[in-house]
Amino acid sequence: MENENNLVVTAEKTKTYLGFWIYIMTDCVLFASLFAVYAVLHNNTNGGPSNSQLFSLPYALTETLILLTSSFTSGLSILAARNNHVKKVLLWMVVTFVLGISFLYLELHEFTNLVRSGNSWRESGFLSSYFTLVGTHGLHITVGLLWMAILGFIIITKGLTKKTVKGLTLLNIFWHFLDVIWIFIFSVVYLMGHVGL
Amino acid sequence: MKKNNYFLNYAIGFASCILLTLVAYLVANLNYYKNWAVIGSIALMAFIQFVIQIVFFLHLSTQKKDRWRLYVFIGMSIIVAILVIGSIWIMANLNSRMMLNPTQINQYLKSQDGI
Repeated sequence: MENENNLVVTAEKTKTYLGFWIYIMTDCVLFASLFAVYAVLHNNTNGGPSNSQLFSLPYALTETLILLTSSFTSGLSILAARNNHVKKVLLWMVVTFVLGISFLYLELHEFTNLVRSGNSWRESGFLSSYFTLVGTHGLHITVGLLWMAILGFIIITKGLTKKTVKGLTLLNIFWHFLDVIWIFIFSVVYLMGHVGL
Repeated sequence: MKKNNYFLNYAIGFASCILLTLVAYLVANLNYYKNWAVIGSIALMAFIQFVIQIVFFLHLSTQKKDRWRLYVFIGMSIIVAILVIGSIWIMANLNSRMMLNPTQINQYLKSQDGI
């Protein structure tokens, strides 16, 4: 049996953890409104190409699997923190960071391709809502990656203290939350768009 | 809880999410256009993944230590449901009350140009 009074357990009992959870729930409401906007506007293509003509499913599947794996490795870093294993924590953080960067690269690559082929957010209500929804998710990913990089450097210098482990648990639930949002983007925007909803 | 249980939690969550993602992907590739069974099963798969990630990755439970997180989560779910279902419902309703097809709407908009 491991020590139940370890730093992760302590961090999960703090008010900051609950407060951050409340922030994440309000962020869910933000994404819900963007999803609602997308659901209302996704057929308003203004004569331009529709959803299924624009997006490639294998590409979106690659993005999904990368983000899902990064969510898993982020969880593994918390697992290592439970066992006070600082090297493993950093290893899994680096893996998560690399996967996150690859995801962000794929997303930006898709955006630039769309804009270059004349399908920017200015073309139609559908594209405006698409760029807003997926772009907001990408912005969250960017913030998460910055946070991860900074926290990684602090853990390298200070090790696993009460403060850094608290930061790690918060970052972890933020990262899982972004993956949860992406499930819905993948299902609603890409898969349902492909079958013509 | 033992260390292995935590790892098992993550592994189960990860494996089932991968599986559900692939199944949803294959279902979408069956080439049924506007088929409600296909759309429904994609939505169902997304919802199961959502629940799995909340339980296995975000560790939300009905235990006493998670009680407040659970309350906030339930509150959020209600707001999200009202927001999304309400918006889609109202906008679809308005759309059908317009009683115009897209061509007629375009004609109407063109006739209003220059005002």
